[in-house]
Amino acid sequence: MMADLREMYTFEFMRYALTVGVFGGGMLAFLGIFVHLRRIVFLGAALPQITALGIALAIALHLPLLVGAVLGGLVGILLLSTSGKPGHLPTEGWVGLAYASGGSLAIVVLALSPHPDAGALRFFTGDVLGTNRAEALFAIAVAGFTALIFRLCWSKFVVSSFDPVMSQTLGLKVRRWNALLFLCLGFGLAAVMNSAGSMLAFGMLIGPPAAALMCFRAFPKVVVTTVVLGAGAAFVGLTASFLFDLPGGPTMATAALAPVLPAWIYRKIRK
Amino acid sequence: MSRLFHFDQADLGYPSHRVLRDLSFGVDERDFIGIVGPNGAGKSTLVKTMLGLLPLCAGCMEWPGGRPTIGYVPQREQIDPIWPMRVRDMLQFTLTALEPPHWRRRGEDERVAEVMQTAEIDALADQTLDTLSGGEMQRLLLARALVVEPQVLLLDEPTAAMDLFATERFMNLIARLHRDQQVTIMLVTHDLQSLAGRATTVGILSHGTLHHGPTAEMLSAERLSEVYGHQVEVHRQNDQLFIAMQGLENGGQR
Repeated sequence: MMADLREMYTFEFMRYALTVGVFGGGMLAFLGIFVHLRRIVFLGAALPQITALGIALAIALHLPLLVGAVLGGLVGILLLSTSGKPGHLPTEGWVGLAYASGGSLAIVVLALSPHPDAGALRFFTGDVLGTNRAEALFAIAVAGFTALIFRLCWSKFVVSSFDPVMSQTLGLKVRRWNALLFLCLGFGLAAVMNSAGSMLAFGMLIGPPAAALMCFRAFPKVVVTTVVLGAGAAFVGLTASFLFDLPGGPTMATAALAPVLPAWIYRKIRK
Repeated sequence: MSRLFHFDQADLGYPSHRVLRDLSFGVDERDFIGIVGPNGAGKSTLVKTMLGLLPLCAGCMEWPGGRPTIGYVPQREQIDPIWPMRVRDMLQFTLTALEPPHWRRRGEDERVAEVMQTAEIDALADQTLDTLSGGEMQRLLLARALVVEPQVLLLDEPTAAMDLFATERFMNLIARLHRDQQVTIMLVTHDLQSLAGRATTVGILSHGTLHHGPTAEMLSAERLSEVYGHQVEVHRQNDQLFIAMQGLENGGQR
């Protein structure tokens, strides 16, 4: 078994896929804690769709996919964070519109693309095995930046997300910390979406933190559990996909969501 | 006592809807002012303006000695208990959030232990937010406001939906802070009884403006009847105030 594993990861494409899964997935899982606690899960679903539209436009315009992913993620963050002004459509309405239009337009743009690419649909189907070295390095860089910024400014992120009004009265620049959080989220989604598709990105964002939040009521345990589950899901999912000839992205996403059921049972028993 | 802040012919609210007009009043340092008024009178607008969350529409608001640190105590319903934090964590986060970015987390600050004792929540230090009762949560929010060593405490309906015992305990705590630590208190409330014997002055928001004066004068039957539009009876016994409203038999129609 160990020999099989060792052999499996002698292939370069497997190592790149694992790198994106572990670093990108672990980072998205960590950011998912804030997505859950701030009650913006719908936004987490809509953002990958807008990022997908960015990637589709990049394909159509013959630009690097990563450029499309980053721009798509950032434009999505900008649009969704400024929507929902009083008297207009509620925030959920904007998020729903973004979800529906982002996903459908991405497919339409791809269909109309003058530069058809055989691998263009891999970010929809989640074929993580197509990941290249640059994409793997990008995932490491974004995860490293996110880890550093959150380590240094952890309490600022928590306090400004937990009670923005009180934070503002204390002079904390809430908009700045929100922007930084969403920037990390935008780049994180771009890093994973670009290689492994929206399914894996959303699965990582939602599954591991949901399981950790069900089991623990203190931040240190929630954070460690979430990151371990996210990174572990990438390894387990990728290995399983290789051994059983399954699609990589969806198998990793399934592994990311799998701990939710046992966590829910654990919570019920403990209650 | 010197003047802490004052409004001068200020219009408060939104560009499309001015809630309070031509407001001119001030609060002195170490004052305990209660702000009361019917629903929709502009209490929240006043709080938001004082906190700097809403700009003035007209006029001016001045802090003669410079803007002090304000400890804001919101209603506990504004707090989301799903956050995985213990009582001591919330206070520690608030304290460290104001410091420059740092690599190593410091040990628990003495200030956190001190305010937990002051707010009578030291026994709850390791409890998580979702296990706190309404009164405990409100005392935690008070502790969070105190942890930044404020000169002014601004409390927005802190005793709303609190039982009688919890209300009394909380109000006694506020009165003690005012008396022993000379903190200026600005308390927005619907609970008129709780102001009697505690607040030095009362401001009544009504019909787009604020009437301001000593507590006994402002909480009189005549004044309250005029503000609430119903016959109000006020009975006093020592520092206690008993208020009864008449004329509500027909769904509030006089």
